[in-house]
Amino acid sequence: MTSEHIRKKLEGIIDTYIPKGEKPEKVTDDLDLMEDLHINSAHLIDIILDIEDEFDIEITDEEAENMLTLGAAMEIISAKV
Amino acid sequence: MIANDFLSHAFMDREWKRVERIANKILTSAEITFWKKHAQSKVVLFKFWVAKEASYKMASRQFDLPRTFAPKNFPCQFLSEDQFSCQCGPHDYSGEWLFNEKGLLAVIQFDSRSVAEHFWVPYTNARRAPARHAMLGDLQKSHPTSFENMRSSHFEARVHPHYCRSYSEPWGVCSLELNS
Repeated sequence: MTSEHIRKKLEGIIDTYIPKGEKPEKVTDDLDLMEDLHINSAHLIDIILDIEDEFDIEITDEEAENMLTLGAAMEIISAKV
Repeated sequence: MIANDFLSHAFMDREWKRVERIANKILTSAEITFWKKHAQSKVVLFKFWVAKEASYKMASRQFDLPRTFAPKNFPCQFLSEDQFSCQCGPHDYSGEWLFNEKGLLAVIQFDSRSVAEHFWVPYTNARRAPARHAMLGDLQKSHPTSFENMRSSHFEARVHPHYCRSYSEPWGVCSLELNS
């Protein structure tokens, strides 16, 4: 799976949980899921579970701890698919 | 100082398979055992969740912790159906749950003798930010305050006479610590 494919799928997952009106014009790797995209902490769990389903991978507790930006999520997924 | 966390009923009403996966992501082995003893109740699971979140928020405010997402690192215990204790590293917190028709709220107060009041606040976005920030500023001057935002709230507003009457959509819970 190419980096572009991963990114497209990941953005699709994250989009679901960004509150209406909060999505920036350009989504960059350094955007913080909670601080910049205003995703509620409760929905971080949903994002992790959706990533596991979409990419058929398992996210460990340690990886989940670090999955706070789009870029971090990209790195973790890319290493597993 | 006060910290809270809130989940709506809509959020907690998950399909069973998803609930089990959430449990495995957020609960310690001791908490899983407790949860199983309680018939794997959804409410028990999410009580653990909001208690952990509120504890983490309190610890973050007191000790400026780096942001992380590690609910298993904050083991919690039920002291009763309404009260819990949570451990954040060397720090122990006690708090209470409020469970009603709106959802599940966990509240931790630094001064347990004080009284907390909770009401709905508008979710922040670009359009509402100025008014919301003004409101938070006013509240924080007079009370230790904690806010929990939810993206989707399926309940009616409790209209606050001074701050919330101009908003048609409630999006979060504001907890005020009074008499502190």
